[in-house]
Amino acid sequence: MKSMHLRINWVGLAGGVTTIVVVAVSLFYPWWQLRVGDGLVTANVSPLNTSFSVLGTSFTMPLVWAMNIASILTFLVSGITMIIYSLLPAKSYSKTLLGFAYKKPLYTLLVFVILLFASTLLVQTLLHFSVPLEGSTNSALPIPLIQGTTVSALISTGFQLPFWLAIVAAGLCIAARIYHKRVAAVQEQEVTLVVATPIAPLATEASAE
Amino acid sequence: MNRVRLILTVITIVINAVPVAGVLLMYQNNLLGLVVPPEINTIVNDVVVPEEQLGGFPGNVTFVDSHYDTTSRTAMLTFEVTNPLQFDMTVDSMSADVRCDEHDFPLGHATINDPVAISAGETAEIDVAGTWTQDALHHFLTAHAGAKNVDVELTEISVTVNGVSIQTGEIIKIPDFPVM
Repeated sequence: MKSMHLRINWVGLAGGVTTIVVVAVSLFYPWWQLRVGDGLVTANVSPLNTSFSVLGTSFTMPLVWAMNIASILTFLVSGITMIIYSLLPAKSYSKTLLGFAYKKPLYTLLVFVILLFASTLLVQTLLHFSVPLEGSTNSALPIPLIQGTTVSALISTGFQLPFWLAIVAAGLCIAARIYHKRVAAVQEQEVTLVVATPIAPLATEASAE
Repeated sequence: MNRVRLILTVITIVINAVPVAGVLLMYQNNLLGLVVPPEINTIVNDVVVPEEQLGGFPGNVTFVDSHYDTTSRTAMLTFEVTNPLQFDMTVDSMSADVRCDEHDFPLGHATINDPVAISAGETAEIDVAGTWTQDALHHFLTAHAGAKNVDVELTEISVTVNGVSIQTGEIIKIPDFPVM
């Protein structure tokens, strides 16, 4: 019964399903959001769906959009592959499926965090106004509007639900890789038992003769 | 197993290369369009007002009327403010110091009581209320004895529009302001 239970990598199954859920949620909510003032500027940043809104006009960059599509497909393929692996962890190709699937959410997450951190640092260095990764700050905006006039705005940023969900998905996928060793060990024991079973009747037959 | 690995590698290459290659093909005659969509040009051309049209901070603010309530010592200033943007805005707050134009004497502080919404391209009236200080009343009695009106100026003007705070060193002069 226990070995039946271990024939499915439940952690991997959860990881695969969560990865697909991340894709679905990310279509509606960004991973990280920046808001300037009261709806003057909004940046919805996500590896899967990035868009901007300036003074009520929404837009996305075609190159970023293409990269988002690539990320969506990567996440979907990763999730589906992880699910297939989890249901068939004992197959000869399972480790290849697992090796392909478990890294994608983690790598995407790491690249996203590094690029986000680098972007905020770049803005701070070049434009001399601070953009926090999480929280609110009142920053003077570098707008050469009129001499003697300073413009400052409340900048609010924050990681949203899909980001935390992506961390969970990446964690589950890594856990699935670790859990695979246990599943593989049980599988090896089963194979040993299956190989050992026919020897006993042969021995009995030999002694009868 | 090698076949599975090969299939996964091909899938990885295809899902990464096809969207980017597709967009590159679509924008092959306009590579700048890859990172600068037409909406940005729209914002720059239509939404953001040219500086000459903006005409300086007070350019969109016109003084309309003023009156003074002796019992509450409250002066009420009415301004017409034009929203030059193609975007609805709300003046959340406004404050300024009121000074005597002739003697540069501080008379009081002016603020707006309620937020004012101004639609894109529209003009709205904003009432700014100010209360004279005791020193101001003494100044009127000594430096402007018998005068019903005094030229004043608004300085240290601070306006918060849609959560964006604008502080300007510009001065708005208001002639013949009723003080008694």
